[in-house]
Amino acid sequence: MDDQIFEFSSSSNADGRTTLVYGSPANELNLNFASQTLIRIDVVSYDYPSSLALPVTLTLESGLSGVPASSLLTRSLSAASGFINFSLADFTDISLTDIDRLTFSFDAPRAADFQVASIISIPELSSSVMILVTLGLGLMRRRRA
Amino acid sequence: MTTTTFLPALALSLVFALNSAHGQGAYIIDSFSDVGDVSGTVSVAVSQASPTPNPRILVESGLTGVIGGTRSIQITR
Repeated sequence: MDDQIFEFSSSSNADGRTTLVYGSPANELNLNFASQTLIRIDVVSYDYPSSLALPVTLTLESGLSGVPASSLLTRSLSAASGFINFSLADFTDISLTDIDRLTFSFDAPRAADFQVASIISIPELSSSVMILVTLGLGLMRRRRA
Repeated sequence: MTTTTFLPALALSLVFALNSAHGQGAYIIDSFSDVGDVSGTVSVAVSQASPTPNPRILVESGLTGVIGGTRSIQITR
């Protein structure tokens, strides 16, 4: 599983943009992101040409076959590897309860190479889970004391 | 397994179990696990030597590690 990657490479002086699209008018995703906090891109390698960051724009769209709405944000990676996190709370122009299409646009600098291992969403913890975790931590402290 | 390692592991398991029960699990948007070549890599490239005047679009359907089952890759220069 760890060996599976998405790899983008460009030759010297080549300047490319790669866009990954999930969902379409014929295949709407109907995702409910209301209980999710982040969308996370795991970049396992970035060659960082000329010390330029790797900007990625995420566009969320709904209503592909009805009343369309969209919201987009750009985040960057300024390291040789790491996570690019999109906080879903920052997508204010769209309802997160019915997302039909996700578009990730990697606008790599000239001659850049990068590798992506996964793109996932991170759920928020429910209040009952938070209470349980708090109780568990309290129990651990008591045992240690 | 000692108590100090067991309890955090138990707490973490509970978090995932309860989150799943509440329907709040993570979405795997793309694990890039369902790929066509033996090296397990989805690979795209741009090159000065072979310019692409029109956007190239690669659509793969029926994928199992991808949300919605279809991944579309567009390459522009």
